[in-house]
Amino acid sequence: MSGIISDNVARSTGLIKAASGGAAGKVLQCVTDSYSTEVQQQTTSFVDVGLSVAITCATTSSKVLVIMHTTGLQGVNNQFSYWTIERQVDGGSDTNLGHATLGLTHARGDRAFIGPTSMIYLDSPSTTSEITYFFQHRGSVSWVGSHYKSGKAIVTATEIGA
Amino acid sequence: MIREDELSIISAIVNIKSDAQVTVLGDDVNRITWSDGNPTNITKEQILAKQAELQAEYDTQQYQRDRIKEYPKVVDCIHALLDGGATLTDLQAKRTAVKDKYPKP
Repeated sequence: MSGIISDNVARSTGLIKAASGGAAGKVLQCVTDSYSTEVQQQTTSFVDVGLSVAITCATTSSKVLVIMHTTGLQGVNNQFSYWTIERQVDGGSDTNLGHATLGLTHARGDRAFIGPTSMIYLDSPSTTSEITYFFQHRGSVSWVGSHYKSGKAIVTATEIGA
Repeated sequence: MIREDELSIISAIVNIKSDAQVTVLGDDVNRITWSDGNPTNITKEQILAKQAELQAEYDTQQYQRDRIKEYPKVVDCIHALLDGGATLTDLQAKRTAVKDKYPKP
């Protein structure tokens, strides 16, 4: 029965049972942040749009579950919006966790299209240095917007013992 | 017809230079980051002037937005065109009334 989610009776609310003999699968920490300023940009490459979260893992074997959510806006017709998550370690090296040009998710929309965007990524950063996850966005043709009307965008990073 | 979202700072910038590489925070002319280094040296004054120009154009189109809200529905127009006679005359009268209510400036 090791490694499965079970036997949650009499445990603390929300606690996931660890695999036998260690912290595997156990939530070690959970951090969150938000951003509430609309960002509009016209760029051919991914750029930060204000939303980020920092976390420092307890061990190099930990995994980090990153969840991000915001609302996007299309500035012109027949355009694609691309979103991705960038991982930065200790304020230094940057890694796009998605496809180099497509990112982690994308959507096509016309002028005035407004829609939700979510990204979920299970990262294996292999470091105990501070990691910052940045939400990035770009359009294919012209300008695009994130955090429409300065609505609240949210990011959550959860460290999971491996 | 200009949309309200197209009165933003970035929209003004793109109207000045269509291939500008730029990010604007909070629709604030003082919070602009130029990814391309702003090679043509677009100024805040130029951006605000273009935004005012777009706003003026948007304002002159107000009668169009007002008319659209009150014009007869497309399906009613189709019925009137097919039926002809008094139905068509009545519909044309409704359209004229809306136009008179919201005259073109």
